[in-house]
Amino acid sequence: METLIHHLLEIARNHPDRIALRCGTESVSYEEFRARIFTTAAHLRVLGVEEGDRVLICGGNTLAIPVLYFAVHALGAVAVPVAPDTPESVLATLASDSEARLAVVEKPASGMPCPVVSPKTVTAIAGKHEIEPICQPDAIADLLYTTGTTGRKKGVVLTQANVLAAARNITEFIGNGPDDVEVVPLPLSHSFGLGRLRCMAVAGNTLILEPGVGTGATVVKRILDARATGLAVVPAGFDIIRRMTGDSLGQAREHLRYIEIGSAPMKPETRRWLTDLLPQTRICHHYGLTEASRAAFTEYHSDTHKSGTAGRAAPNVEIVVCDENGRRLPTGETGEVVVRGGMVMQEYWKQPELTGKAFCAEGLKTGDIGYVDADGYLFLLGRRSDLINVGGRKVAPDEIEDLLCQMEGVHGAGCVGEPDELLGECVKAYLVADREIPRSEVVAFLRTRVEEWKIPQVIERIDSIPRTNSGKIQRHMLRSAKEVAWISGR
Amino acid sequence: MAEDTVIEILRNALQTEEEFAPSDETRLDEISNLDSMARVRMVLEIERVLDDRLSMEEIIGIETVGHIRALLAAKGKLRVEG
Repeated sequence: METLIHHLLEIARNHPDRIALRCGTESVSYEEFRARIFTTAAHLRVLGVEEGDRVLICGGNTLAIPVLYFAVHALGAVAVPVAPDTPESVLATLASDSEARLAVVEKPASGMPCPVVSPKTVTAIAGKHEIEPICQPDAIADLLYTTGTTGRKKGVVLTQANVLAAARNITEFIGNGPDDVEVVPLPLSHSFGLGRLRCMAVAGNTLILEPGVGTGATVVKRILDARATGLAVVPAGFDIIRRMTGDSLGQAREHLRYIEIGSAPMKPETRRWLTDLLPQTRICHHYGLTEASRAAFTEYHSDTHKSGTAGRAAPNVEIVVCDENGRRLPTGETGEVVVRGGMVMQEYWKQPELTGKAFCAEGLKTGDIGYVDADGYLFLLGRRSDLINVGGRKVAPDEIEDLLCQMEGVHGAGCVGEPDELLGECVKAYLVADREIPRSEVVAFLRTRVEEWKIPQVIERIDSIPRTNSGKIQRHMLRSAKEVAWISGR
Repeated sequence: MAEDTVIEILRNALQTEEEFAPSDETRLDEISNLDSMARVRMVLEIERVLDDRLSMEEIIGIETVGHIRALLAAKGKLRVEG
């Protein structure tokens, strides 16, 4: 079985009545899921989608989105998952950049360069106009847009072989299987949540989709009511769950077999809380990138002797550390973390120069600094880039700075990460302005231009933005610069 | 005019100073920009007003603006000034 679709077909053939997905009060068996996928694929074909075409998919965690994802694959076309809170202007930019043949979008979208249909419309077709899958292992499966350091999004090209390799590696480490019932309150548009969907296609288990962690209460209740055996959440999600529901998650300790965590580091105190609360649960925290999904794993109970580690290389993955010339460094020496494995991306979409810079002879350069110890454990020491990690989602400071400088009276802006109790980090903006600018004005200005979570939570006025001779913002100095005037906080 | 406590809670959660007057029947998922983090802020605001933690069941039970009002009223913390 060489693609995820072929795996799904096999599961549907052998276990047609097993539940594949649940969302709210709806559920579908593997046979129903298969049927919906292939009738949707037939409908997409009628709408003009052909092999190799890109199809933008923008929606929340409903049953329609997994159906669409695999329907696009079944046609040999390319899925371009996009977050449901993406502003219209950005949606249009991504559709244009990906040269999308079609956009399937939950909310109204104007100014799009391609036809737009709703997920409900395209997946609601009844009947038996099914097709046979035509995707091949070397075909492009997904085009995932990720945040670049300059703010411009990079399209990560992943083949069917890449996504299948990732799903197999993850499943092999975590150990989830066909009898598992897993709660996923993660966006399916992001590598982490999408990875759980792909793993379902390999393991044949049941996924319960939730719209998000929210206040944590609904997620915990779902875990307990369903006697879930698996859970996937970002670290900020656990901080919210703990703050909002206390130790309620501990009631799941008898049935919760595994947890996958990723997208950001976990606070040591939250890690301690979780391991004490769930002593028998396999708690797997991954390190990876959209470009190289789940490159390393640590399991909290097993790796207590390696405090601070990002884990060891995932199954079938190799992690080395290289110098600035791409030469491999000896064990224990610090350098750039480089990854090799079947899940590593093919290239950046239409950016050959960037692609060339992303690889060295040893593999994909991650942009992270660290070392590997004698036991093969990876330790991360920092990021090359200034990306701000807001609850697992990355913000490029440049993007927000450029927008802030468009505001009346703003002559300069610099953004850095600020510690946040629940999200890990939030965005803090320093403004050089000739007038007082209330945070409400900044929020109103940015709200139509960027996703909500990118909006600065803290704003401070400053005399000038520290820069190098070449004009580059010295963000490390911003964190200790003297402030003038006001703080407009949360 | 001093503000209704419930409206104050929602405006703080939404981090907005805009005029805002949802009815009690308004569902939380109908309120624009009341995303996951705003809901967390909403619960934190309610707890601040109550000076007490909400239980998991109470949090799940908040589906409409009216539910917030009923919760505050039940705990004697509802203020509506004219």
